[in-house]
Amino acid sequence: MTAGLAACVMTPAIAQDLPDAVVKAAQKEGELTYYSAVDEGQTKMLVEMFSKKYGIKGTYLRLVSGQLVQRFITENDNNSNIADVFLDSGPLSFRLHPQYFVPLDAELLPNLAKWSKQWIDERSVTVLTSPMVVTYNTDMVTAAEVPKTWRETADPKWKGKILLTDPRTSETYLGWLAKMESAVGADFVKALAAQNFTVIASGASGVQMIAAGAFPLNFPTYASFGTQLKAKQAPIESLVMKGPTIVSQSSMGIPSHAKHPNVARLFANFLMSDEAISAVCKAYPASTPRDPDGKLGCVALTDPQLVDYVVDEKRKLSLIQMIGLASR
Amino acid sequence: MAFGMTASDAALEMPHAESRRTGGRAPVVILMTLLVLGMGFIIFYPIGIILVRAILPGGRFEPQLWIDTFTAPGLGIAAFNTLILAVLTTAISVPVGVFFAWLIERTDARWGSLSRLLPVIPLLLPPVALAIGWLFLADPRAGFIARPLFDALRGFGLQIEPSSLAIQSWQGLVFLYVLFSVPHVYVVAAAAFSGLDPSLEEAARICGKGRMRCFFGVSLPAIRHAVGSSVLLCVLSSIGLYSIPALLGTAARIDVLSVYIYRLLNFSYPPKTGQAIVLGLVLMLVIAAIWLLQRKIASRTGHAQIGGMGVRPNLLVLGGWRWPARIMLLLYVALTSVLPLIALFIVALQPFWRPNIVWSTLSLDNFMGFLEAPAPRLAISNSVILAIGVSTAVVLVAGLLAIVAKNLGGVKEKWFGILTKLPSAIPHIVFAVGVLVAFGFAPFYLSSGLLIIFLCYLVVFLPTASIAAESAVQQVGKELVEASRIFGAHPGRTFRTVQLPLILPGLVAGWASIFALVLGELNAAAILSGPRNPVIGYLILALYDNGTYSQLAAMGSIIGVVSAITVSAVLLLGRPRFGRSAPTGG
Repeated sequence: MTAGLAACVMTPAIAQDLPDAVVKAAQKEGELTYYSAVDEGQTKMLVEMFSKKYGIKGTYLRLVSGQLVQRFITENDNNSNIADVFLDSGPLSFRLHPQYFVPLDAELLPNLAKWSKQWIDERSVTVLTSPMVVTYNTDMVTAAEVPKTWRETADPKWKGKILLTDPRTSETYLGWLAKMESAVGADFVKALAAQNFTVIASGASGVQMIAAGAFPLNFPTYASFGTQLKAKQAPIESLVMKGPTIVSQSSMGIPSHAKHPNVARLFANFLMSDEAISAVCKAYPASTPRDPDGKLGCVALTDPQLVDYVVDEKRKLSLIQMIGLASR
Repeated sequence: MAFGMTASDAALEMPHAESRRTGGRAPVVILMTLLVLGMGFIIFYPIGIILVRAILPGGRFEPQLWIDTFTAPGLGIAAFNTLILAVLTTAISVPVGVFFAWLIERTDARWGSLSRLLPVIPLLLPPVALAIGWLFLADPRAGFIARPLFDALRGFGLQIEPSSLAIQSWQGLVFLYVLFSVPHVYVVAAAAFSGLDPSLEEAARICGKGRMRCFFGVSLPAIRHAVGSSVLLCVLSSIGLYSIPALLGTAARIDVLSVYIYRLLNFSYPPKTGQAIVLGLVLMLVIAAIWLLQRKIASRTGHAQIGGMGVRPNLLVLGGWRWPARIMLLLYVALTSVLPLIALFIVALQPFWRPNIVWSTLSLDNFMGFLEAPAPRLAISNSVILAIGVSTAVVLVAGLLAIVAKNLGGVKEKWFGILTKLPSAIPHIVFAVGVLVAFGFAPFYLSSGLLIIFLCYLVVFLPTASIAAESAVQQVGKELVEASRIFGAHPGRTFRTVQLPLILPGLVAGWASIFALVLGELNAAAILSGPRNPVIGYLILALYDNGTYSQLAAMGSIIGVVSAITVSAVLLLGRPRFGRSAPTGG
């Protein structure tokens, strides 16, 4: 999964809409329930666009991945699925519970034909990728001074000035650390540990501290956390890091027992449409396998590499110790 | 079910011959039995489900689960840190809270009814808002107070490393834990002091004892049960508190059990629910042991009770100490409550948190965003309805259970006491999953309404209510109840006209605590709330993950206002009606 996105797109533009009969059946079902683990604003925007376009009432449940998955699995274990479409901030839920999702193909979702096979699992598809960034305070650091590569963050000049998003609080942040060790080297992780960084529990909290001027740099994080703050003139900017560029994935699946199966197909196909992707990329700094070159307005990425989603317990502990976060 | 038997036994032992003749016993027996059975079902059905699923996967005992749980790296240090925090918090909060309660209820340091509310002010904010309010004030690099202070110190040539005096530190954590715990201690102790027969204190004063000797020698031992309950409350809240250590402890690299368990459930994939439940079981044993110890110590010597004679508490005159005592109270409130509330309010008016206030950018946008959008409005109104309903139901249930338990006495009373505390050992999120499985689907289908959240909170907050209720019930002497029975009143009437009015201040205190806790509850809300039944906790989680601190501060301020109005009204209305207190010499 580490190959570049540049050569991903399989098929040029072809008719990717679902047949009218499906649209009419969906409108007859009349209701969408969307479970999402990605940004609330993005989730809300897409549900509203869909409702407006098809006249189908939409509601969503937005929680962090762990809580959302726990709820979804509990409901499905008890034969009481509520979600029509399920979007998680990683691929594991689909791989560990395949029985709760339908197999995907281009007949079910015509827009799937536009996707590279490397981003399609049997029962899920990666619709968005989010590059890991460094967020910085523009009053404290100039654009020229900001580290451009991960290795530069270990420069002693940043000692005591780094706010590190706690890798123990998310599989994605831990996956970033694992990727750092494998791609940049254990010596980098150890050098970072010597930077006397402060830890913050989440990227969402980290960006607030940066905007307040508590620290000049916060990473690993996502640019989308700063979207609202930037709109309010907060002195923050984000930079997609290189060496390597690391991305996490947002994967989507259709529950096997969706209450509104035609709505589920219609909405899932809509999420992969150029219309939805353009809207998301216009509002948020996102990237997607559909738009590796940024033609739809998404962040263009060269040779993005996925975070390591599968890290066994032994390695997890070793990484946490290496970065200096083992309990004391 | 054992509970049903004990309830029936309790009712059998209660009435005397007169009440049997009235024929009032049967409905009481039935009601009490139903209550105990109902609560037993709501508590133990979900617990049974999660125990079986997590600990006996596939119907078999898995020793590896226990090995993995106890050998996991980080558990030992998290448990040790929790122990240190619980001990320090209790050691500071109980004396402070009890002393404030004594000052306000038994001395002339209070001025007017409103002063009774002063120590309760920190209770009006959910812990997450309290933690963030203090972050705004005391972050060493961006806090409203800390940053100018460090700048000033640097101006004097003192180079102090900001992290050495950070709120994100051991001392900062203990400070906030104490801040969170003192009001809980205060409400229980104040209820006990307010119902205390003043004759002992007056006798001590007549015998020439000084103010402090009167406090330590007479007043304090007389509310022994309330002090013991306060200790238990402090320990429980220290173990369960999540938002404060998650926000500030993480930055200080201080891990505690609540955050450890939360990570097991939320940040591991798949969630390590089994390990969380094993730890919950161990906590249950610890809490049961502490409860038994507290009861043993409290009952070793006698304690004062509300007797059959009329009580007209006279206030101890502090003389020259009156104003220092008042200033101390005001200082406490200013340092611990007013400042963070102001910080919260300022940040709520800012477009985003920044240490320098730019007056031209302040606006009500963050408030209007909530009040104008339908979803937050619905969440706020749902939470208020839920908080009123849960608080009322749970204190009534806890009060009745405490009375049944007291009448049962002996081992049965102990079992009642332990069983009503057990839910506090189960992480809210784990219990919520149990409730969702138990009542969310066939045959109940409650998954998308407010009733399922109500049932969950009824159990989650039963330990807090139960501690307050037991303390209140223990204060009521037997002579009044016996007098009522001798005059032919059946148990229901005795409860309604004698016991309930006497334990009401204690129940009201519990009500106030629980009302504020329900408004700010996050973890169970994540599992049981949703777009069809949103509550404030769901909204706070969304803001915490995706919003700005300014929006969170606005939500915290709104909760503060709602809590302030409701809790103040209830505490003032629920105060004991003994007539006006008159100062006496001391």
